[in-house]
Amino acid sequence: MDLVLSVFSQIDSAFMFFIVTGAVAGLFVGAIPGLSVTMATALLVSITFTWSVKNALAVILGVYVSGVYAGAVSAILINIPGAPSSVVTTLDGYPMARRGEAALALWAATFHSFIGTVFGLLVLMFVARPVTSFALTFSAMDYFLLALFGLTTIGTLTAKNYIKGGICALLGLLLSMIGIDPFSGGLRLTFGWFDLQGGIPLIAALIGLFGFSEVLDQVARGTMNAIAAEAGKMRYSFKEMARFLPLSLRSSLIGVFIGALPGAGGPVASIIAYDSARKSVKNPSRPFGEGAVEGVIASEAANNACIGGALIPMLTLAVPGDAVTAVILAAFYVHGLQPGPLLFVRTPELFSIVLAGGFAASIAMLILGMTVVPRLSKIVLVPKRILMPLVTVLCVVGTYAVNSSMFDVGLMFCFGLVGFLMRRRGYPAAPLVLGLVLGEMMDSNLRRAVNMALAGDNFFLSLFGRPTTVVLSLLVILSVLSAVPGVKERAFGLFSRRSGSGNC
Amino acid sequence: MNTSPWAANIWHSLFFLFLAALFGWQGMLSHDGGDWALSPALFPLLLSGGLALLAFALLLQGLRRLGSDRHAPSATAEDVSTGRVSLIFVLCIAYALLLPWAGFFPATALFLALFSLSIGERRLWPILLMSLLSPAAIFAIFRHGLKVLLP
Repeated sequence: MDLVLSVFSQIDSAFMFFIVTGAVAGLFVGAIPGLSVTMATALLVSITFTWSVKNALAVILGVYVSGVYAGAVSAILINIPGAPSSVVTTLDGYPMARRGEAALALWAATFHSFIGTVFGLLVLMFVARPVTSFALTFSAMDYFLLALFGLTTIGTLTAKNYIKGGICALLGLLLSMIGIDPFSGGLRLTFGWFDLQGGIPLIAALIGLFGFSEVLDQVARGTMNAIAAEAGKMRYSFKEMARFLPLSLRSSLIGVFIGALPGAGGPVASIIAYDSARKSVKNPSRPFGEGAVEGVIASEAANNACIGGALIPMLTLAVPGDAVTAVILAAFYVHGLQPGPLLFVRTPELFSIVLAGGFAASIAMLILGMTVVPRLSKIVLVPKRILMPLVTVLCVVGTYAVNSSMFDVGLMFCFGLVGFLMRRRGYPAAPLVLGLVLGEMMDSNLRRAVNMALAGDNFFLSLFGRPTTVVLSLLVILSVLSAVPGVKERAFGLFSRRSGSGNC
Repeated sequence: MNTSPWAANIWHSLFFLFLAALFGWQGMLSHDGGDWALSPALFPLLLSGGLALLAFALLLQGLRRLGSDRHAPSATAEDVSTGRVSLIFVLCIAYALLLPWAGFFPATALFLALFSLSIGERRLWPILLMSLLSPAAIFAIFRHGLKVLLP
């Protein structure tokens, strides 16, 4: 109760002003591909270092919460995810926009992002320490298997032919290996090309595969009318909110747990939550991948719940859960604060400020999502003859903004062409992008795990002997097997025969 | 002539086998001669092997179903304008080349006008409005508002 009162006592008019300012900035930064929340918070650390801790954290948390949500806005409206964690949102969000349900998709994303954020913060508030303890038990092999599970899931989810989904995921992983090896510092897979030494820029690939390929696809179709005849209305009753609440909370739980694992983050959380929704929702509004609102809800609730999750190890152990919390950690140090186990003893008010900032920012995000974002949904009514050239220029500007490199822009166009050809031949882009995101994490953790296992007495037991590892390995195997045609049917047949004989 | 879409998958699988060999060869080159468990070649080689395996599976799938099923496995069957796509792609590459040389505002204005003309916009005022106002708006928002460098 004291903690709740302490959180409320932090909120005043100045605090709210900085929260709202940050939330507005986060909305635009998050919605524009190429401008990342990490970049915005890093800029804010340098701007706010002379401010009071409370005001600095207010504006940073405003950007963080609103920015993570805003990635869904461009994902739904123009099929360009504002951030990798919104890639999964495009799977159903954009088909909804094309069906004239952009406003509904945006409202679902807004409301369930709010639920996800609040859920994550409540977990942070009440069970931060047990969650941290459990997250710390994850070994290098567990991280590898977790990412592998995410990839096998997305590979089989997004492609009608599971082999093609797997090929895309492997290509993404191979592309992520290009550049400097973080262990040895040596070059690999650069084909002697100097510009590839820095690796494949993720944002260029993301914008190319989703944004520019969409432009080429629309041009190829030749229909230059608007994306949809209508943007739709915010028809989302309390009854529907209540109906989707269990799915939203389930996805948030996945998000908060994945968020608490350092390095895993929003992309993995949204894939796993999406897969869980696909398996648990018996009668979706439409088939998943064709405009099911449940897909948008699962992805958005999970990636926003990651915020609370990522803050848990940052505040309790000074280990950032993702890139943004790493920047926030830097902000703490700049202000002379020491997060970690002693945080609750030395500066307990800091914990309250972070919680108050998170809750206030989630309310600001909800209000902005209900007032500003519906106006943005009108973008789907703009004729493509006007919209597509503008989207192309935004693709160029967004790509260039990251590294100020024209090579990245050229690469973005190449990825766009590849993405267009992939669409035409039934190869999904989402596994390729997520392979690019997760490749480095998988590589480093696999090598670390193999090394540690080699040093142990029993290689196999050292690698797979822990309960978490066994569970994750089984999940990966089941995920792969469930994609193989016939396996699922045979398994069901086996069980039904057994139950049948039992009845006799 | 109506060819089976599975035949396309056979060609794709050969392309992916080539990619697997290419990445595998490059991966081998990155091996530093030390312990394989720590080698930068370990993961790329595993991935190349996985890619080769899946490409082979795609090949077998295509060969098994070739002739027996004439429905596309997942590719879209609708007609597409390859000429228009090629034109737009070339226009985009020309825009990227022109940007550092001509500067953001003139290159973008010209690109927007040519792009919208080539996809069927014939009304003069929307073209003028878009090609003149939007580069200015983007410049103001990104360069001055968000302090982001523009090409």
